Amino acid sequence: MTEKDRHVVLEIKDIAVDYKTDHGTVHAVRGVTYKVHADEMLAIVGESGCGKSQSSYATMGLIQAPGEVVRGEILFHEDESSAPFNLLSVDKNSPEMRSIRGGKLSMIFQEPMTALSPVHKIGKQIDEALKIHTDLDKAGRFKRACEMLTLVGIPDAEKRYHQYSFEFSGGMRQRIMIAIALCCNPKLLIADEPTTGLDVTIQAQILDLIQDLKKKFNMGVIFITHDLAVVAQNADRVAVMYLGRIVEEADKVTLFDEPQHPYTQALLRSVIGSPLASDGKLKTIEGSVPGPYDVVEGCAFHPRCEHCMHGLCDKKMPDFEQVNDKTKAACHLFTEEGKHHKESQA
Amino acid sequence: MKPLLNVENLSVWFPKKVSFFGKPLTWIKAVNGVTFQLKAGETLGLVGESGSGKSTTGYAIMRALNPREGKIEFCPDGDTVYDLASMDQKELRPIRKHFQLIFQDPFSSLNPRMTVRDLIAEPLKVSGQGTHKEHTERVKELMAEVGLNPAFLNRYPHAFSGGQRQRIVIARALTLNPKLIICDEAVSALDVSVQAQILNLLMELKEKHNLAYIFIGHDLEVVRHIADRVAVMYAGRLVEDGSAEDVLTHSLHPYTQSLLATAPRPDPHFVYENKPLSGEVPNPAALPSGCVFHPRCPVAKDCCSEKVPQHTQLDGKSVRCLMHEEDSKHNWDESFSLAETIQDD
Ligand SMILES: Nc1ncnc2c1ncn2[C@@H]1O[C@H](COP(=O)(O)OP(=O)(O)OP(=O)(O)O)[C@@H](O)[C@H]1O
Ligand SMILES: Nc1ncnc2c1ncn2[C@@H]1O[C@H](COP(=O)(O)OP(=O)(O)OP(=O)(O)O)[C@@H](O)[C@H]1O
Ligand code: SF4
Ligand SMILES: [Mg+2]
Ligand SMILES: [Mg+2]
Repeated sequence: MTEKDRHVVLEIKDIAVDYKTDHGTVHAVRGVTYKVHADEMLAIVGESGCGKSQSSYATMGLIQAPGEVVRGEILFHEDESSAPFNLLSVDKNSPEMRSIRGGKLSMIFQEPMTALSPVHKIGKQIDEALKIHTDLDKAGRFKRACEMLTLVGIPDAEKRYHQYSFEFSGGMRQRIMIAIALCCNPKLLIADEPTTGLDVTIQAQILDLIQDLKKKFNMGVIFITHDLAVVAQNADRVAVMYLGRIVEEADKVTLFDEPQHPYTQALLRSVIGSPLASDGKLKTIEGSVPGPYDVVEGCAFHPRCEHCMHGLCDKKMPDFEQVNDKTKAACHLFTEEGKHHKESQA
Repeated sequence: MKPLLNVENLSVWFPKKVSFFGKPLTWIKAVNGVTFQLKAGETLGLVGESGSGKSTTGYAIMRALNPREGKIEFCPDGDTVYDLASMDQKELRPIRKHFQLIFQDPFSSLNPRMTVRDLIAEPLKVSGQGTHKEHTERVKELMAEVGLNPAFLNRYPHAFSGGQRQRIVIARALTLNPKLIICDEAVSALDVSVQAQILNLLMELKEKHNLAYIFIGHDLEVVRHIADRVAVMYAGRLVEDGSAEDVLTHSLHPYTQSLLATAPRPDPHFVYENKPLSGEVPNPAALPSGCVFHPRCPVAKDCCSEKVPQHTQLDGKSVRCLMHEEDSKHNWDESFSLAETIQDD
């Protein structure tokens, strides 16, 4: 199936999230746009603090005060025939949003220990989700919960149903989180660093599982990670974020083979084992990511960029647009203004 | 010349259940019979899954933990050998300056109420050498060396980014001119671009000061990049060790092979041939009989649950697997190919 035939499950347009704090406003997300198709894994990568989690919390209606989604649209297409529903058009605590969140739209969090309740049996926690999002009776829910536990690779499901989260290993807990997230057949799964901190062999098992279930349920997956190796192995498409914005988006192979944005290029050069990295001394990106309260005018990457065009990059933010038939990027090397700027300098 | 470090048959156990009279009844066997050597100026990468005993091995070498048995021969000057395992804390004190530890978490390993100057100078102050002014000079020198601006001398750790804090930790470790630094997941918590900066720094410092590292990590690509030699641990045992290139490209042990087969690579064209290992690491309080890896091993035979493999020297590596032992290798047919077996499963 080509990308065009596949049905778009989620479409995010120019989402921005602000936190108003005593020290000033943090622009956690500064305008993020992407689409996710059915049976597709979109990886969102970027360094700590760039807004990966916050942009997905916006979709889930999980931004808490003093945070606020200050602009944008989040369109959810339940299936091909139904009209898109703007998740921001209803209150995040409304019955509509409650019935979608955890049901059609589901999320796995980074820390399974804090996301799972320590005082409820794990079976009960799956049961809760089923109660809200399905009309199965008690016996039906028990059966479904055990099926899900088996599906995610927990043996002895009927016995394990009655155990507590601390009785499971880290890998097992993450599987239980996946079982809870998937028990209501979601159309879209957001997985926020679901394997960070797990061992490679357990990570490989969990990634295999997510891939299988993606296909089986024709589900869209947003996979948030800072690990480019996991991306190269698992994603279909990749969006690279820097300081609250997506700077580049392309299919996986294009992104790794022909990165366009100077940040993506520099990032890939510093990843050990990537074809762009050198053997001895690694090429690194000068400087560090600006802090959350720092204001950077123009392109957020310009203070660290080796291609920065003074007078343009430090003044005006480049639009995120198609730069060739495969890639979208936000960089003045590809904008009309950038081309004019270069000509006028020459 | 004598090796800097010669670890022989090192075991570290923690009491699990203790009797009414304070006598341990059952043990968590965290490290069992670990043997390896490290030369001055060399980097040994120590890899393995969570709970395999990497940190415990490192802490026991530094005598932050007491070994149950084994030798830890340390030779800082190429001549005098100290067996750290048999020394008490008082005897160890003058030798401690030769080895240092760098932790994973640059946030919790720095006291937030101390300035960078005091943090870096602390080991000097404790050792009682030099004046306040001399300490400050040394701190400035070290800050410049690890890429920090010496003008920030009087700032507190919270004013620095994660990567900069790890630089502070490194400067502090260098204060007393150590011979050996144990880096326990020293770059694991850092973002890729910062990780690259810190790895460059560690490699630069090693060249300059002829430092030896025990580099504990779980990212095989990072370890391949920085290590001269690699040792692989599984459930408290060292299952394979040899040159980094050898172990990470022509591994002999089925566990190392499985790890390598599933570790993701930052290259979308890489073809993964094998399925991930099933199951989980065994509980160190109830280790499997025979080869500790046998319940998960894709090529295990009956003998594997009965006999404990010993170190076998083969192709420049030391490997602990019955498949490679003279007495038991007949159990694996000549024509047999490991890769095919894993694939079929
Ligand atoms: N409650 C909050 N108050 C103020 N700022 C916040 C809050 N939560 C998040 N932020 C800010 O929003 C920005 C984006 O954070 P986010 O958690 O989305 O980053 P991330 O890309 O997921 O990072 P990581 O890889 O560390 O998880 C950060 O600068 C962070 O400091
Ligand atoms: N102080 C302790 N008391 C009891 N058990 C311990 C203690 N320290 C470690 N262990 C146990 O010893 C085993 C080895 O732990 P260790 O921390 O050395 O593993 P590791 O390889 O460093 O793992 P990780 O990759 O998670 O850091 C584990 O099962 C651990 O639970
Ligand atoms: S817009 Fe300018 S500063 Fe930003 S990445 Fe492109 S060239 Fe560099
Ligand atoms: Mg996050
Ligand atoms: Mg450890």
